[in-house]
Amino acid sequence: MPLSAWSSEISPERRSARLKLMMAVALVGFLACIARLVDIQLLHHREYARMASHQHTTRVRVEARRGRILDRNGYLMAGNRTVAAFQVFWPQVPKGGEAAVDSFVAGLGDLAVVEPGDRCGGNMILAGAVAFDTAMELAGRGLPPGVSMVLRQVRTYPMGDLAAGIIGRYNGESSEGVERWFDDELSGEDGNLYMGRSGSGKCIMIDPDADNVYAVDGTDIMLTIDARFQCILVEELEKALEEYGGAWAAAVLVDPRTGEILAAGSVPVRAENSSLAMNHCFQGYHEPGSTFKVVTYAACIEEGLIAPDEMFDCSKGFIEVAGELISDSHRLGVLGRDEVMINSSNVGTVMMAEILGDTTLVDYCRRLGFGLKSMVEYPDESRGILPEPGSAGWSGVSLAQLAIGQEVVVTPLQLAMAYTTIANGGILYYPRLLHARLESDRWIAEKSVVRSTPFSTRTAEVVRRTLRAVVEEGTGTTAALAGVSVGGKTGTAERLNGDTGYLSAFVGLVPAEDPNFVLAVIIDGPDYVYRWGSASAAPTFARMASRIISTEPELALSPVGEGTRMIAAVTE
Amino acid sequence: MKRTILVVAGGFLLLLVLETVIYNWRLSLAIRYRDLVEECRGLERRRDELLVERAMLLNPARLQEVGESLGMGPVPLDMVSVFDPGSVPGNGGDAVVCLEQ
Repeated sequence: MPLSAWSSEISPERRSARLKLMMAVALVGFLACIARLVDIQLLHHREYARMASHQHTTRVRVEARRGRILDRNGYLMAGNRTVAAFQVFWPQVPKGGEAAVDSFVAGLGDLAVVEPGDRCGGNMILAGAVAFDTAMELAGRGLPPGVSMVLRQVRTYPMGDLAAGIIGRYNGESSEGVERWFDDELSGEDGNLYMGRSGSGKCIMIDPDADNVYAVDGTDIMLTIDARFQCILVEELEKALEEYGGAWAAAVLVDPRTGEILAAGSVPVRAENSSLAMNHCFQGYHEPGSTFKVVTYAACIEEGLIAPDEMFDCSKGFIEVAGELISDSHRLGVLGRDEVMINSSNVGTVMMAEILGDTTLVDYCRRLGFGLKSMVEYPDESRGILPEPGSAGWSGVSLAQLAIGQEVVVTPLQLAMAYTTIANGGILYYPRLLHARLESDRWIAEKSVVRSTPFSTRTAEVVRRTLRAVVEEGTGTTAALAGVSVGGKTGTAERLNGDTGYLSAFVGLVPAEDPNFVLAVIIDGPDYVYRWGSASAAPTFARMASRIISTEPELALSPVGEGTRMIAAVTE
Repeated sequence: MKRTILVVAGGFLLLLVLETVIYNWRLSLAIRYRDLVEECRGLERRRDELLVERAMLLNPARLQEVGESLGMGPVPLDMVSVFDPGSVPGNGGDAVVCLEQ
């Protein structure tokens, strides 16, 4: 029987020695533990922490939600949907597990982008964009080994192609239109969360001590666009191209009191390769033709160079300028100042321009924004071309050509904005697509900015009266609306690209006395019989304006005083 | 001496217990936080889906089509009169449906 240290048969000295030995061993062990603790927690702390972190923490990227795009009434024009992609990493599929993967693919049905039995050496996408609810259902049934699900957001456009020309498209790699212009605000910032993992590898919690960066969602923006009017413009433009023929057509609807763009339609929306076509409202250009005569006319009135009762002899039907003949469509006789506009006389307008002078006319053109970018929030905006007196391209006939809207190239937006100065009493605003942005749950509205004041209120009033007469008794009668006063100007110009053919245009103000909106319609290359502005662009304007007013009847009214109630009644 | 050792050991034991309790509490909070984050993201996804669905239903082109098929399309402009309620409306005998603006 072994003797313990406490056996009464062992001498006290021996007992004490054994005890001391045991205490020495315990002390050495204790010191070794202390030394190991010091090594782990002090000397090699970072290294062990990193090793531990690798074992039980994983970094998960959190995708920021892209900001939404709304119209001025809060209608969603661009939103987000969560979809799932299923993929298989074949090296992780165990032997005999291929059948389970094939069965899973078969279960995906039409959602699958591969066939059961397809193989590859690495990662293979099984289904690319499965709706979230369906994906959760599939995942809930259990995914075969090697198969994983990845959630991602995709951009969704409820209006489809009707607003594509404005909104553009965003697919994660590239963007166009408003999506591209406001990409920084819409994008937000992705985050990174460090998730603690259990022994089985499942993420169980967010590590509170880690350097977590939370995703910052993109900013929502509200455009000045009214989705209802946008639909109307695009639908009517498509009908116009079908009825009158043409290569493209564009229309811009602007609020003259603020410069806000209420709608901007351009067709065709898609190019032949199905990509988004150019938006002619902002990126295209054309010679404005007779719609530009208003600039010459208004400038002469503003400068006080032509009296209201001054007469212009257009009876010859043509005028010779620097050896070239500029003619009217037919002989118009002797016309008064306003009658030159009402009858759209080239001869009369050239006479006015000769009184005005080239430098003054070009100065007014520049103050109206021609030849300059309008600074609208849209990428790749065209600035158009405005010739300069004394430049290489300026000839003896340039003044006359400019006065009647030739030898100058404008965008539909520039043309519409120029007419807003007539509509609102002489002020040119910078056009805007952004109405407000959402910050801290509050919509912060953008303010209108005045660019210039080319005309006085008096000049604008006189011109409006004349434009009303154009529609009531002149070349623009096909733009008239029942029960609503309309002012406007037709335009017919030769096409820029050298092909034979014409461009038909009409710019209108509704109601004529104190306009609530300005609408410019341009059709490029209509069939020959529809080449005149009055034959295609003006009737298209009338249909658009009629539908716009039917949708929002108060737009047909001049602003009434506060406290005044008006009633809209439907008569049978 | 023995008492001192016992007191110190007891103190360490108490600290150990306290640390374990706090650690477990933090762990449960972290798991709860994860659940809330997941729930929040789920609700955000659902909200996005509902907003898109709502926009599809309220698509102006779709409403126009539906309205026209039900005979409720926009009234032609020549059938709409706007007037001050203080004045006498239109010709006598017209049937008038008043829509207050």
